[in-house]
Amino acid sequence: MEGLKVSVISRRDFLKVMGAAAAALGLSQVIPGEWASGALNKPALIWLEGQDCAGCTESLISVLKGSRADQPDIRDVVLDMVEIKYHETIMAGSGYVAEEALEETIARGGYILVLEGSLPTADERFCYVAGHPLEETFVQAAKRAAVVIGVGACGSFGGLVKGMTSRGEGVGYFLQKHGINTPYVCVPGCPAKPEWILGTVLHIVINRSLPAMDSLHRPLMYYGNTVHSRCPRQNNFMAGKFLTDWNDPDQAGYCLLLKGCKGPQAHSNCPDLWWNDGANWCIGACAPCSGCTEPRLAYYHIYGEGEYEEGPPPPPPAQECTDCHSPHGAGDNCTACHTPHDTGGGGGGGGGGGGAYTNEDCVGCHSDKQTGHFGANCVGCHSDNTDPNTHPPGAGGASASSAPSGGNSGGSGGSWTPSGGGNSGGGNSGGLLGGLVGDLLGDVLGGLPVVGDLTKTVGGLLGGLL
Amino acid sequence: MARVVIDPLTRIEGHLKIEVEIANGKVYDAWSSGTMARGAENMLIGRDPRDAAFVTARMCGVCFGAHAWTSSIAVERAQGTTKIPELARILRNLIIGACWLHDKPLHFFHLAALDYLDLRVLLNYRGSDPDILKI
Repeated sequence: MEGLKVSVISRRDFLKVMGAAAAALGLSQVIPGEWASGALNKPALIWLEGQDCAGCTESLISVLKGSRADQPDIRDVVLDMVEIKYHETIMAGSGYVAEEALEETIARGGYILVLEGSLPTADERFCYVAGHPLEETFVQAAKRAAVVIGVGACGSFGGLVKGMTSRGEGVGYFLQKHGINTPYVCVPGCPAKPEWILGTVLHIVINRSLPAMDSLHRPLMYYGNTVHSRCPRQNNFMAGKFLTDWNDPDQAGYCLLLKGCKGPQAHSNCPDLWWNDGANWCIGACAPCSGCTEPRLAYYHIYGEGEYEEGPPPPPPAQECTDCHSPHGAGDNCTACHTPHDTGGGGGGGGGGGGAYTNEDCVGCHSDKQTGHFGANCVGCHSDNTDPNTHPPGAGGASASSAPSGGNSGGSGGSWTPSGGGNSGGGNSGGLLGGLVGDLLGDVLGGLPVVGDLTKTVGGLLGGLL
Repeated sequence: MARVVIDPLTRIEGHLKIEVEIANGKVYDAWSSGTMARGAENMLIGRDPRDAAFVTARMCGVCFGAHAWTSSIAVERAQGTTKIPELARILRNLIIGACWLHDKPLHFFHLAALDYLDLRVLLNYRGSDPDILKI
């Protein structure tokens, strides 16, 4: 943890340099001049997304207020405590702008690295970002990070993805696999509660040390007890009253164990810290606990007792691949390139790891190689090959007729200019934009009081984020 | 002909690569690729059908409600159910309604807004509106 670079700044100083607000979302990468100064030396944060659903991110940014008055919300953290350098779901820049921000931050070192979503173990091609397997990027980033945080069930232990074809695993697995000694914390949950994520990041930033953890690297402050130990239905459990019929009014409030509740296994403070700003929680809504903070999540019977057998997931049904996933309709010769179908049929062991993504003859049409998008042997599936001699009849007609010259020059350096309309942004303190979008949403949704509050907060939140 | 590759495309759920071919200021061809897969469909094979809604809801963290909703309908169809209890219908409608209230604003304000607003204009603002000058 010594590597974590932190310096304290006052809020006043912070506000003076408004560009920092832009830097919070990586906007500094698309704004010229002093706005790109990045003058504030707050700990940088890289938020990588692997095989994720962005649910943990949504969980984090959807929190309207802290559950308690003294709790910081996401605005305070994003603006004051850390500098989010890279976050695919909320950052302004795309493409090389985003990747440069990532590379620069990695080069500087001493940042907090977050992994949301798992990384595949069956085949690295299950998760590619910017033309690289994300595992590569993660390993690079983890080596120079001060601390790694696995967010969500997937980022921590593989979550549900562990039971899927790609066999996802979380930070612990990959740090060990590559022999990286960077300290790490797991914040599981599906999704992880915003308070858990914020609290863990804040603990690290403020104390410059890891929180006390259990053997699975979960902070004890949130995962110290089982759900069962604090469950309000425990009286009924002790009395042997178990719910068996959802429609029997007499069973209201009975223990949900027989309906698949994982409360006795699941470690979390859910009974005390509810969801959605304290609105409710699973068992409060009479839904059995799914055990989403546990590494075995993927194998649980969600609505029944016990677990499914662990093992490779069943192979996809064998089928003859005829159309190669192509919008153009591929020719007779196309057998495999870029197809998600398992043309080999079978090959069950290894969980689809040997799935036929490309065969040896496939020279790369539309591949991740970035250059030479199709080769001489490519007969046209999903490519923009405009040579009628090598193009199968009926494939890609539009491209053949409209392209002025045959083929392309091998990818003449993708240049995306940030000034070209769309992805632009500037730093501001958020007041105007917050109000503006708040009004906008108010117009759209009408004047319901609850919506009014929501718009204000969402608007303010967005303003804050900007 | 210039080929523009944007990878990753940010502010979406998932991982997307966009390639566009441009000549003389015109787009001649374009490709999009999703660059991540999990293989969730296979996971459901052999499992209790009631798990389907729970698992498929995790496909997307922005529109989870819609995934769970349609998954429930799919399970019913597989089972041959034609009519669900009235209370279930009401509950489902409430859930999908709540999902709309959540994911539409979320998509617009968190993900799409930056594509519609050019904040740099503010930096060069020379007018006299006090609200804007305050920024």
